[in-house]
Amino acid sequence: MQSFGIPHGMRDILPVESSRRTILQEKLRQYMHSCGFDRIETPLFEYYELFSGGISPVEDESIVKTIDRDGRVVVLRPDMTIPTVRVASTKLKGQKKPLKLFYMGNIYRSDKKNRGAGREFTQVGAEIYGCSSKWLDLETIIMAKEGFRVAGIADYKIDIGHVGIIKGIFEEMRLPEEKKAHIISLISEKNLVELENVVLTLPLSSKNKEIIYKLPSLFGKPEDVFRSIDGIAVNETIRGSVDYLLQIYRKCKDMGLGTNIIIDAGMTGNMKYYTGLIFKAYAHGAGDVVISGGRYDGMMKEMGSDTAAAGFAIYVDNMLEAVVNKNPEQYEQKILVIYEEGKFIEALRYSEDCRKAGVRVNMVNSGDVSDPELYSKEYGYDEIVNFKE
Amino acid sequence: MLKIAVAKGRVAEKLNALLMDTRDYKDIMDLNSRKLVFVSEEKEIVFFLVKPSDVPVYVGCGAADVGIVGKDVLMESKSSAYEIMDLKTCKCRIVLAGPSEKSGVRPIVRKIATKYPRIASEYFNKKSEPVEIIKLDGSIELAPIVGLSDAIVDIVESGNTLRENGLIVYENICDITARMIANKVSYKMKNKSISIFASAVSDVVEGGGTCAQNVVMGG
Repeated sequence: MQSFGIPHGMRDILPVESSRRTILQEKLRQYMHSCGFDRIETPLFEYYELFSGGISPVEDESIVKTIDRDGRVVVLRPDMTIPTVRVASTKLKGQKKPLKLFYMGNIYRSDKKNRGAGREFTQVGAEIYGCSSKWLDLETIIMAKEGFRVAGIADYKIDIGHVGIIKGIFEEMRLPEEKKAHIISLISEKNLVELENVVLTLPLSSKNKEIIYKLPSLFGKPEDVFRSIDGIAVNETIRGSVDYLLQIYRKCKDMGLGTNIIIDAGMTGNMKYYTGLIFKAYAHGAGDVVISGGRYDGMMKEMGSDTAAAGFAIYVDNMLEAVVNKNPEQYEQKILVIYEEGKFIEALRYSEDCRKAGVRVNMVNSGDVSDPELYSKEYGYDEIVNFKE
Repeated sequence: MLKIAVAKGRVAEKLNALLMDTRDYKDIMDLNSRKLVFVSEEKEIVFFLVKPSDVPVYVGCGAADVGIVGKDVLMESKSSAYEIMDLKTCKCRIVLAGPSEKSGVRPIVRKIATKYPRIASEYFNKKSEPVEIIKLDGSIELAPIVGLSDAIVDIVESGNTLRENGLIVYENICDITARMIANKVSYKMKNKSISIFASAVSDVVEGGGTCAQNVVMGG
């Protein structure tokens, strides 16, 4: 027989894992729903233009593209936020604000940097449009925290930064855009080795050099970071961003989240996409970021809508790695019904009654299964019910 | 337990030499044995030896929290890990080399054999020179001798191997040293243990290692 493979980076999710995923996604869905968010679904294929022009959170070369019948370039969506914004700023434009939406689905990135070179990822996320500042950001953080709770993950950290800090620092220095981009990427990579080499060659005052150089190390326990951040708060933009982070942190502390918060003053994100607070969340056991989110008024403006917006996405694949209890506790009774021909109607009635009562019933004709005991064991049935003539 | 992936070979030897000068981490690794895993329960640390090009893979996916590997490997793999320290050891360079020329000017090269296809193609792209890159896994010096390529892009330490094979350095591409890298999540979740290890190493690095160790992190 010919052996059938699947394309690079794709994978099949077999029953055991699939049921774990389904349970987790269902819990997350229920939680989002319970917060008054409405689900939207957007297509898997989108026009390429939607993700080009610098607002995309992924590099152009990691977007999976193809050409449509009419010759236009279409892509497998590399992100869910941008399509959600597209809908919010067009078809749902007239809706009263605040508008709260959530989504679940797969995204596609052929990112070489990505571990395992996987290309298909599942995301569950939420977006809020048109709330006033602080409450908007707080709600996303609360939902991220609750996401961990419903998943049963206790050991996690939410790492918060603000793009205003680096923006403010660049206000102090006149540098060409490509230099800025390079410095931003080195800061976000925490690559002090290269950062030192690059900064040395720039025509900056020694104070500014020191500020850039200090930024990657300014992360950790919130109180400590706030204490040592004063040295770099040299203008209004930076001071404003730091004050804002402090306000958010105080609220997080009031919610009992104090020990789970890290502040990272050197956190950066796509500057065209994000405009304010940004955060990433990690969990013990997951080798990659589990939740990422932030404030993106700038992208709203780019897409012709002048509202405040923030959101976050949960990387379901990564979150699953951190779920401690690999066997979901949800217990369901499973019955195997074996029937002989003459008892079919009787067996069917019995099965349907059981199913209505919430029991999983697998009906199999006695001729189709040679050894019901073995079969039942392999699939983990609680009981075998025989309908013999 | 802090998991550290170390590139087998020269990097492991140099790291072990550095660790010998530390108070807490000497005598954990024994490179004369054939073991690949070295555990210190007391220090809550485990070192394991892997092929250099695998170090970014282990660290990238979090199977190791920290990695010790040459910059050449990092450049070639475009690792997603944080590069946190220059160990300033295992110094070597990546060069463009080829058969020695009497004229003293570098000949036009069109075919390049290398273990580092990404570094080589980025270098020639930057110079807008059209070249064909041939990926080889070893004995790169052989390629120009047998006529497989015009030149090679390879890592050299002293240059002895090149000389012995009748090759000379045409151009320096970049300098290479061993680096310490960290998984992005571990760097935040296990910052304390990473900091302790990194600062112990940084203390013994020649001239002090620069390292994005935050002074403020407690937990």
